[in-house]
Amino acid sequence: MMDNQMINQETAEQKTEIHLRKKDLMKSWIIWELTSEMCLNYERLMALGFCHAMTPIIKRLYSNKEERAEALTRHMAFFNTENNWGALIPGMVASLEEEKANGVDISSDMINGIKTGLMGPIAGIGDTITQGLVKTILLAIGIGMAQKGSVAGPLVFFLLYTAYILATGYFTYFQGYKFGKNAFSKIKDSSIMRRITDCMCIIGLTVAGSLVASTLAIQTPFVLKMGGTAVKFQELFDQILPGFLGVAVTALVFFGLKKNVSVIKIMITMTIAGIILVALGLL
Amino acid sequence: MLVQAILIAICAWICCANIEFLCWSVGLCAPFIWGPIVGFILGDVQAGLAIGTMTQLVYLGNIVIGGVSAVDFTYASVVATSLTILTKQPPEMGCTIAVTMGLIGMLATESRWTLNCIWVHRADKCAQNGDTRGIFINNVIMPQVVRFFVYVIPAFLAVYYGAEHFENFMKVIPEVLVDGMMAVGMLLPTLGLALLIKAIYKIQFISFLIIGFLAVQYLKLDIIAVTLLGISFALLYWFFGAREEAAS
Repeated sequence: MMDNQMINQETAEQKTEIHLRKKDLMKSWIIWELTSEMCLNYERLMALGFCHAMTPIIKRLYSNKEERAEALTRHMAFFNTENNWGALIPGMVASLEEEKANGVDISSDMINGIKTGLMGPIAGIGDTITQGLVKTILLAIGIGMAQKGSVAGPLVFFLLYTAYILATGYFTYFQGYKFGKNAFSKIKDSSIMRRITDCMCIIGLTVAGSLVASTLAIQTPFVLKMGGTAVKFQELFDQILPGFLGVAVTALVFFGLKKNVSVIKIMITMTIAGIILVALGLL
Repeated sequence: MLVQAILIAICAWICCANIEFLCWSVGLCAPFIWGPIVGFILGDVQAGLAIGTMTQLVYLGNIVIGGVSAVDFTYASVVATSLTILTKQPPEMGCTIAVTMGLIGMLATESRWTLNCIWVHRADKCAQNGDTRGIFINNVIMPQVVRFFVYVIPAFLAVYYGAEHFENFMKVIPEVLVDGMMAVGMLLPTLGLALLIKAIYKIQFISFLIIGFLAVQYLKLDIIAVTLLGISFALLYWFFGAREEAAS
């Protein structure tokens, strides 16, 4: 084993150093942004997508078939992350592959270890920011416009969201390449990510509150006749709090979710309850 | 109808193709994006927009973690919106149809996720031979074949042959059930909102939720104004809040 490594290092020193060109990295990033989730599957999720994104890097760095085969096989391991913030990982792996090809002692296990170690935490941060916050805020803006009948709503949403995705992906990929394996520790060490997430939560919750008021239109036609007077329940609710029923149902569902009632169960309950309530003339 | 059915089938393909930078919007927020496009193809943009908006609210808080979703968005958007428009159902009904189709479509999702394993094994062999072209073929071309059978063809058939049957089916359903399903369409968006709130909820930030609600319900602010309000709260927090962190 030791002998092997030493021979490897010697042969590496004899070779002239190979450097990745900007073009290779661009190619790899573009493949990542186009195909990394095309072959999603239960067995290894994004493994093939990751391997595909690495092909321009591997082609540049390794010229003989055995080395290429080894590198490609290395990247066929299970992989799954959030691809916008997660673009940090292929960027970083590209820099590790470059060093490895130039004789630095980096093992396959180390590269895979870094991939596996990072994909979870980055997916956690990425999913919250991308889908929980950025998507919500942009959707809220788009839906607000669409409810007034404007087709610009979906269009504005699409353009802004896609711009965010490409910008984040580009930034993290090339930052990942630049920092190599130190990239994540730099982000993780500071509490900046947590504060950013907090700020996004504040914006997200403000917008979510406004959506409760603007998008729900639950009303009851129920009228209670007592002697000569008729009590219209909707008017009663409106006097207490306009949009009361929307708030009440949302709160009910929210506490259900908090108690880990499954989404499917809630959907089924809603369907049955909805039909029964209509039959009773309550909704 | 043939041309429209083909166009809808193409929409279904783009929707399910998982082109990475597009799939976040056209795949995961499919109802909102495809509503007006499908509406345009079938001759009623406003109906498509209304159905798409209404349906998107249901899936507002749907955060897909690890790529595994409990909804098939291609069926819940392109296919469901087409059927709703073709049978001239109101948006509330479209919402219920979308949720139903989204669940039926899980069959397609499951088969796609399972069948794609085949290409991974073929790619393993290509990797062992250092064959980068083989990697490309198995990652990009072959999964489209699977999609063609589980999404593109069903979408075409649903629009070309299915609309009439679907309309007859809708006519047979008793009126109470139809009204009930419309009411369900009205209730479902609360689930979307509740999921969303749960995803970003922190007890110390609950006041912002209330402020957002009041700003629209009583002050009648529009969404841009509310977003700016939210941003200014966030900036206040960033610059003046979180002092305890500096201390610790």
